Amino acid sequence: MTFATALLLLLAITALQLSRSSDSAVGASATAGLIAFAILLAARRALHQPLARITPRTRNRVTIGVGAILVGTIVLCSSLSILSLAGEEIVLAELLALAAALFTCRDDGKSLQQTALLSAVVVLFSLPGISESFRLPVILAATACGGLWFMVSATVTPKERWTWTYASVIIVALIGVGLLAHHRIQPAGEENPWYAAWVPTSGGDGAGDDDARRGTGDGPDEISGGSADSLGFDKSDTFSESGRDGLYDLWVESYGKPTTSSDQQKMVGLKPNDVRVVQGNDRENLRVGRSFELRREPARRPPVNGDVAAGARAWIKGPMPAYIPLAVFTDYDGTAWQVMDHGKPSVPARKTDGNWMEILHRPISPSFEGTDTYEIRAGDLGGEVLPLPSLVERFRMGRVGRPDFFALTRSGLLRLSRRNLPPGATLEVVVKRIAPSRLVNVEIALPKHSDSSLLDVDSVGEDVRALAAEWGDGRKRGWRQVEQVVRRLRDHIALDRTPVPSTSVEPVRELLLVSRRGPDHQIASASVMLLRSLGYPTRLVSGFFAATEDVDPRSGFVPLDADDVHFWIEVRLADGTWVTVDPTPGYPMLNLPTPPGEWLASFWHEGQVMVAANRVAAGLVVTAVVLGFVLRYQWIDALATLFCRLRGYPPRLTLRVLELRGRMARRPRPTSMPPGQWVASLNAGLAGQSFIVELNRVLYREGADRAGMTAVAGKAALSAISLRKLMKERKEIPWRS
Amino acid sequence: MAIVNAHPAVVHCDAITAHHIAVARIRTALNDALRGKPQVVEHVLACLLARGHLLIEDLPGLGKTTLAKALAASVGGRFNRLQCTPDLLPGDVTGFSVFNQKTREFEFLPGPVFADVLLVDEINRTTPRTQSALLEAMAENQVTVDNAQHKLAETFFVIATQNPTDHHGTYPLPEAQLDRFAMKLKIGYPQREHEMDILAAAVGPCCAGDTPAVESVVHTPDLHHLQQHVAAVSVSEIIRGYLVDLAAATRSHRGVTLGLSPRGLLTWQRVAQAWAFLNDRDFVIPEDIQAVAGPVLGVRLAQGDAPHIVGEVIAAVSVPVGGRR
Repeated sequence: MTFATALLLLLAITALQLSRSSDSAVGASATAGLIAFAILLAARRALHQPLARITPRTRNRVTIGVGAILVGTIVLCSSLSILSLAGEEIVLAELLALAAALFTCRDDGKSLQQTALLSAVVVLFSLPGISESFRLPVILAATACGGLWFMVSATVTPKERWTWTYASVIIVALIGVGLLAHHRIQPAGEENPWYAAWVPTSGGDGAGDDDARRGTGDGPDEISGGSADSLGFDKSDTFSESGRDGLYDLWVESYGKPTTSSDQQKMVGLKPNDVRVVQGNDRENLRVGRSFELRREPARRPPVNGDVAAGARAWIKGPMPAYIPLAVFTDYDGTAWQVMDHGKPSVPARKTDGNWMEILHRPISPSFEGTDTYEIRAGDLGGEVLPLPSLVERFRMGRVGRPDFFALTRSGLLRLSRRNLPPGATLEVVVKRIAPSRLVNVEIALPKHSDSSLLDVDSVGEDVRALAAEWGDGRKRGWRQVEQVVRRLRDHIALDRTPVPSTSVEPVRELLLVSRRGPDHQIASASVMLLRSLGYPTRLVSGFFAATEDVDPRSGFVPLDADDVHFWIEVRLADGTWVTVDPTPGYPMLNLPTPPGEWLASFWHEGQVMVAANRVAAGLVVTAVVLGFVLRYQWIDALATLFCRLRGYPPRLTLRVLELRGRMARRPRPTSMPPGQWVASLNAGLAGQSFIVELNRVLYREGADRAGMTAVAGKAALSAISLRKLMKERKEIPWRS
Repeated sequence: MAIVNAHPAVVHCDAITAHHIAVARIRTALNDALRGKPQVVEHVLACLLARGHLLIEDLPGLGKTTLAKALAASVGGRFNRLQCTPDLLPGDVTGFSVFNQKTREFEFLPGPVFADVLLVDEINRTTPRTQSALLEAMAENQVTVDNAQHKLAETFFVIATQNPTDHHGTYPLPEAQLDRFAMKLKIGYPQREHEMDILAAAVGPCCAGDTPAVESVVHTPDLHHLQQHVAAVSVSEIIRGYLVDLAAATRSHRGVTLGLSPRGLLTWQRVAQAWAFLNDRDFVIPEDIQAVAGPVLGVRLAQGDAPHIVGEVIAAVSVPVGGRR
């Protein structure tokens, strides 16, 4: 039963480790689990002797104390953010700590049963967290095996035990083979559950529009949806090009001006018959700021002198740094980004106490940890979009108490409906905060049909995709891969704000592979392309970046002005939450915590490299270590004997060496046994007898001196009572069960 | 468990040899009288050399009285015997004053207590009142009768025998009385070959006079000398600490209602000294203390399972390993 309990505990630790770390490090978490278990075993071994001596009541107290210390440590560490554990992980870890305490301090049957039960619970609830599905059947099978074995050995007589054990192992093996076969037959990653045929859908995933699952809202199939609501207008839009400035071009000069193609360039792609020259004013694109051209040229306008309004576009107060998105771009055609269309004019919030507007479809994600509160004052900003940080939970705009004043853009930004933001408007907002430590375990959304635009990389060439594959290599799909790609991009390129003429046909390719320096919008675009080609749904976001060092010490506000306009990207989680990532060098970096198995993994990797380099030396070291372990008693004994010899075999030291030998041979001197009697019991013959006389004289005679003492007796006793002799004579001590 | 001394030069050779011969003589005499029980004889010797009084408890017919008589005879000196009965009075033990018609004075008639060796047979068959008459004699080597103190012999030595206390017609000895004894011994049944020897030796002699009397092998002054030597055996500081720890362990042991008294501790040390002396050593080692723990504690922690308790007490205290390197 001890074996089954130990197996279950080991599995529980390993399962918890695996579910904690969704890292690609080869078996690092499993190794961490094994090491933890080895430490537990060692502690159990070490505690066994002292615990056996004390009374059962004290033993109970020790067990409870150890458990309480472990649980307290977990709670303390997680509250001090030393350990980044989610709530359910804390509960599981505490259960495991209790099981470990029981296992370490007690070994009666009842406590082992409790250990096994607690471990089984931890295994059971850790399983859903394990991201690599191929490990699941293995752990399931092993758990079932251990559990069955445990139940069998607890209930069945010893005679029937083996029959039952064999039967259960066969059953579990069959189940495991079935699971593996199912896993093989059903290709992974296919997002077509068996019930999909009965569910009407327009192909959306509900991230932008809740109705998409019902076949009415956005999605590639919206036209063919059954409902009358599903009629789209994408076919009816006319293409036009306006010479008017976009959102940024109005007041941001650092990005320069989008290049406009000459009439001749426009005509190159058209048949002569299709060219129609319209005299008069261009038709205006009233959705100003919907597109952003990557090919830009320095502004030709002369700097405006004197007539710029004082102050800033907006002011923000709250935890810095903050990103305030104003426009979200999804579609990229190789040179220009397109803003997502405005969504339905539905009211996005409802009114609660004190004119607070509570967002109806609030984001819910396991990556959230707490909230941040910001206060924003709008200046001469203009436009409909409210300058709020993303992931808004609730907000308040002065005394505006009507939810229908607000609407959402399709990309999820809050805007005023049919009004422009008046200068001087104050906004208070509570937003969700994303904890990087929690982010590690959150899955990134898999490709969906409706999100083809979020994964569209047709506009970049093979070489960019190859670069992405190279940078993402060595990491499993997840946040750590995103972090690695962004980190390498940051190392690869330099930020260059000077608006140089950049008229390349492929700005992304040129940035990544040729110039390796450029403005933030190009860096962000490049990172979007890189991440998309690795399969991460990514979009480009622009808006204000409020830096920590810009805080006005008197008011506490950060003034946001043209200099603070910035481009960054967002990556979408499986639950629909968009997470801000900034690929521009010099801007805040997404800092994921080091997982527990990380250093182990690197250690493991470096060790492998080193072993591969020095095979002979490694072999020698391994042999030496193995020999050192196997012959450890002999080593220790030889050292002790040598020391004793150098000191001239003083009786007391000789006795120490003999006692050491006795302990190593599992024949220690009972503390209540006089040393002379013990030495006599080792059957050392005459050498022992004379040594005993000398020993007793030295130990117990008042004022014993060294006069007349010889080394002969000690030397003879040490050679007569050798470690080998003791080990040979030792009775087999059965391993405690 | 006699340990042969491999380094005679270390020990004071001459003195030990002379004493050794005397002790060996007594040992031989006792072994002749009580066959097959060298361990018991060794304890009896230790008790004698430690100037302690001896209580022998066992079933009738196992040789208690034989042993006591042999001891008394071998030590020499005056030997008296007191057969305890329920109607025995204190005066029968200590002696009493009678009116001498000639001198017209009261004259003290010494009782059996005035001897070098006193055998008190079946001590628990007499009443506690009479048992208590022995208290002063055993503890202080003197007797007070009619306000007059009478000194006893220097080597006054009591050997008492008793039947197990749960037998019919016995009065258990009070604790105060028990504490006066140095040790309590049990003899036990002899082994087969020794029993056959006893039978063989009984073939031929018809009555008590036919058996050769045990002759005295050591004189009383010699015994006194031996006892002085025993008292001089050195007890080192850590050994004293060990003794005190053991005594404390008896007091805290659950199965013991009355732990070891300081007087008991003194006795224990003295008996351990005697044991060391018997093993040709002039210093006490833990083995000595453990070897005599059974009989010494057995008389004091008499309740129930004394050997078991003694074992637990010894196991609970770790042996000090002192001295210099």
